[in-house]
Amino acid sequence: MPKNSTTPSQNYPNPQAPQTPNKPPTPKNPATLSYYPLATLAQAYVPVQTYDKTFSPEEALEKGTLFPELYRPYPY
Amino acid sequence: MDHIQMQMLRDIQKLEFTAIELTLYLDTHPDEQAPLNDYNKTAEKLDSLKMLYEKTYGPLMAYGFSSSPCPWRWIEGPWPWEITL
Amino acid sequence: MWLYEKILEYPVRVYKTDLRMAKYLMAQYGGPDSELSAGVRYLTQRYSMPTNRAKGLLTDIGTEELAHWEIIGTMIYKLIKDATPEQLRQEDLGGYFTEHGQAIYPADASGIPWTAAYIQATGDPVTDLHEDMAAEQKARTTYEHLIRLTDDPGIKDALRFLREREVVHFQRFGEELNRVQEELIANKVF
Ligand SMILES: [Fe+2]
Repeated sequence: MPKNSTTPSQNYPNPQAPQTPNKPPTPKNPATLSYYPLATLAQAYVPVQTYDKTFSPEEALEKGTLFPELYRPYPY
Repeated sequence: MDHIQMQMLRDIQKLEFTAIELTLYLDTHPDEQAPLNDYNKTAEKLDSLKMLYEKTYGPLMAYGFSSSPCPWRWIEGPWPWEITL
Repeated sequence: MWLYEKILEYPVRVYKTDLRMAKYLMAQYGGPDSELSAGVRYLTQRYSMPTNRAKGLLTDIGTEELAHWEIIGTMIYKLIKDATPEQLRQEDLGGYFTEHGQAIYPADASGIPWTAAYIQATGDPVTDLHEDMAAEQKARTTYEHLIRLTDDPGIKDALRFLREREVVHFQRFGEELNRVQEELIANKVF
């Protein structure tokens, strides 16, 4: 093995290190979380939205979405 | 373009945007009754508002979707990109 | 068949001449991650989608992108319509004026003309939906850069609306990706 090769572990976080929780906000309907209980490796998923409260037509147009849970304002 | 026309265009934009959002939602959730009810209610309101608008200010769509008195009102300005209010 | 409706999806409240901002906005009018690319991409990919949901979704989002293309075109039109050739020259738009006058031509912020090479249609629905989700993220990023380049409340307002649309489109493409993958696995095609 070449002397100057770095060990892979230096480039990745230690899996034993305490995990900082970085959970997404809990959806109102917990079914959203279990929709894909057994996600397959090497495949991307987006949680499926459930129909809940909506903005008024006026507020929706102003915000760019009808759905409060999809509203992601940009702070600039 | 007077202020009433402007206000009506705004109100159409609001309802049409709600209809767009519900359309996209229903495309990926086609079996859900609640958004479908909201979509149908919105479509009905939008329909009557557009009819009211077109009576005074001319067609919003051509190709036979609304009728026109003489002269042909479809080509009347301002076009959407020219509205300055 | 397509129907044109004589109304913008969102009002454009732009009243001043601002050539520099007009030039930056060309990124979303004729750039790689522009609304034009988005519209042509989705309306092209829909033919080879395996599910009716995906065909419908690409038709509807593709159509909305064309409405966004019109909003961007309207902003640029309003920002440059009262400019003199001398003002255009000062903002480094002399070359643009030479070739296009005051027309709204699909080129990017550096003047490079729009090309179909900006988009892909592979015929593989998983691959195409991934491209679409990436395209929504790239357009969102471009809008964020544009928002930071202006203080004009009218321009910012329309850009914020368009940026939020990219978030919603990403969600819808993601939901459809789940379903397409599920069906491909069920049919053992994948
Ligand atoms: Fe989009």
